[in-house]
Amino acid sequence: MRLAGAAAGLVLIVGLLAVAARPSARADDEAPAPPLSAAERAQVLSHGPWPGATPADPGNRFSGLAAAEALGERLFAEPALSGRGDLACSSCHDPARGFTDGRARAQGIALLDRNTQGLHDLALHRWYGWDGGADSLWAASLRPLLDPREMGASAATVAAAIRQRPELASLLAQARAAAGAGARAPHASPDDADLVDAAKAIGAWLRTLRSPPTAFDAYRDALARDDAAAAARYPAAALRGLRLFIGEARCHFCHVGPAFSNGEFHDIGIPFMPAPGRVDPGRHAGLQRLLRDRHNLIGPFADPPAPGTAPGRDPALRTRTVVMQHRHFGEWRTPGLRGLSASAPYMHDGRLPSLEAVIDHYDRIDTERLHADGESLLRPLRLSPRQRADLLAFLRSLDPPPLAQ
Amino acid sequence: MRAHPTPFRWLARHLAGLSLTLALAGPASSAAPPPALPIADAHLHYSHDAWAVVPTDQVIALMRQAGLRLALVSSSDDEGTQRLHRAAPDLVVPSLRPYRTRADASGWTRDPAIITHLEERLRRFRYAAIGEFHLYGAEADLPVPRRLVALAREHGLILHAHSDADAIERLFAQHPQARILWAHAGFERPEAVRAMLRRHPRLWADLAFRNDPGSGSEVDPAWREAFLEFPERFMLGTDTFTPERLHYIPVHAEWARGWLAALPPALAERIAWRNAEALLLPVWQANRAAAAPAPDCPAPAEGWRLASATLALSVRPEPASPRVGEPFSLHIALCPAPGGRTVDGLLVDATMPEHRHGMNYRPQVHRVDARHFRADGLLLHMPGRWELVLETRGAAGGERLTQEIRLP
Repeated sequence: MRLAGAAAGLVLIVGLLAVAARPSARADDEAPAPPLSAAERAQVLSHGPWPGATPADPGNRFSGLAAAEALGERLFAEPALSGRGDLACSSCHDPARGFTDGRARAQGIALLDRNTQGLHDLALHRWYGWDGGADSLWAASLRPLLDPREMGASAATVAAAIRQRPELASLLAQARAAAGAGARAPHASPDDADLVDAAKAIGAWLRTLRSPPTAFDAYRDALARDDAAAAARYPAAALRGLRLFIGEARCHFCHVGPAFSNGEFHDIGIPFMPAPGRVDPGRHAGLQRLLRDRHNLIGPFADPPAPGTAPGRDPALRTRTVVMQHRHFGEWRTPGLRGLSASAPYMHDGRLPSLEAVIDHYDRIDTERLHADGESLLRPLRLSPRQRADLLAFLRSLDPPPLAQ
Repeated sequence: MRAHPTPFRWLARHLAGLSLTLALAGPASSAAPPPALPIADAHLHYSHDAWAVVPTDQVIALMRQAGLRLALVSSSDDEGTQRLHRAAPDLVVPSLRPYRTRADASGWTRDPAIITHLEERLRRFRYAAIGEFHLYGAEADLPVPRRLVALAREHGLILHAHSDADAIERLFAQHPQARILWAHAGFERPEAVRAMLRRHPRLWADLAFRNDPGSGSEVDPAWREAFLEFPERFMLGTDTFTPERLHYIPVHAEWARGWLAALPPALAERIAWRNAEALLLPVWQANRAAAAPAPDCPAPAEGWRLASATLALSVRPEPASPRVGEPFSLHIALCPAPGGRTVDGLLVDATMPEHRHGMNYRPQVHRVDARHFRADGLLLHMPGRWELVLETRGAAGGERLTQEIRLP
């Protein structure tokens, strides 16, 4: 199955229009699947097109500015930002590992409770981090910088790191010149302003990280243009897995849209006690932190939305209207599914080492851990071995083609 | 999962309109803060999967940290409730849940073994309530729920029902004098809850796992009306349905204090703790004062008493003195310690530890009744030191008790 997926990916890279004469990637000797129903087709189409537009980082006047993006890329890999001078963002978000670290739980200055998340396609989300404790990419970049368990930085260390490096200082000056003054808290110190603008530069760069089209996207686009020959190149196992995904397994209720995430928070029965006597409350704590954070979208450091933005389109609206609920205790943000193979292990605390283990979890999910009047979507899938293999083939068809990695 | 979504869907729809303010945030003040409003939490569980990860003393510490003055606890299985009650009898009011594990929540109404479980626990322990149980619509009239209601009537216990309005009506039809605590206020909208409270003066409601009564320092207007119309019928609850949620007890208490502060102080106190105490304590004190279960564990005149912290067995051999090579039987009586394990089965064996072998026979064990077993076909085929082994089996695990026998 993996060979079939890889073949499809190669086909994609060399050019979809040139592949008509290539052999089919279908390796199965199964009978052809029945055609998609209208509802299935509509559901598949809803997972694209890809990559689509990239929204701006809200409250960030640097978003989309080349100088800021260049600065952000430099700062992301700059250990001088950290309190000890030995940890960069990229120490955990390793670009060579899909911007993760391969560890179950992240290791900053201290061992942390949560798994390092990948950074592709973040601009499509509305909340950041497993607990959604930030409402913008720049605020999400600030938190690990300042957290004493992660990078242990301060406004002073970040500001000094930039000032002592002429190239960084020059890029920051260029970004500011291009973007204007932006928001500034009434009593913010120059160091605070530098810290926030450094985070906004990192956010501006993170916004540009988009994952490439996949074998699934080639199939989805072929379907959209009624190109049966191209659609037929999608491996049969992946197609069966896709139909399971949008059918009886009901994965698509949460893993919706082109990014395969509804961007919201759910409890899928994963324990959340990182150590005896201690819980990680997930979304419940994230929401509290978000609303206390002076770097949120309704705080003094958020740059105003573009002139003419209708009140109903203001990204800060989500922060003004979000509601705290009891169910948030132990909920985690639905992760996107693109490029999953690179981001193992899985779940908020990295407890599941492989995609097979993730499927196992849903196969035997412990519904006793879910509230009787809570979401009734989850139930043990009890998949057959072939269904498990099909679902896996579909998930792997969401990986970037090898040449794009 | 069950499909009873209508009230919850209503709730979900209306939650979206609520604004959020942090209950934990408060104005800075140099004066000493007033003592926190005490809380009675009428909806706690300490179920089997929680015992190892949140030890009993931690749970009690969390309750104290939350400022609880009373907690109605029910657990799957009941052992969790008994553990908490033993640790904090001043705080914990036990309720008997008809579940041995939480999985029973989905099938208990058709499982006669649930009645055996309830009757056995009622013989051994004292309670204020039966529940929380999940019961919807016409299922309330099935034989098992009917017997549960009858047991509540016989023992003078409150019913803690996670039910729709239809099932509540059916419970009152079976037992018009029942006192029913309606878990989650049925996840009904406040107008519907008020209608039920008007119809049934012996109905109370807990607000567990509901976000809509209040938010931050505000009370929802529709709920305010309900509280003002029925100031004595509402109470709070956290609903600790997973182990981790035991850590939510203090968070929930703070959240409740936030919106309760927007009510007249006397009304806030009633909802915070007075209503729960007024409902639960008289029943609990009356039941608690009733004669304690008889120990019913006589040491046999000829035989042995095997005991652990949670279980004792009275074992009488027949004939009274086993001999080498002669079959004998054992009459075994269970004498569970208060809060002890439920015993569903028993294995009987004997070994010669020094010889590294056991008997050549597997005794047949019969359950005589809820408390008595009989084991036939034991045969010790060599002289020397034997170890009689009795292993109990139960949903919460088993115990291994041993007795030395020396045969000349």
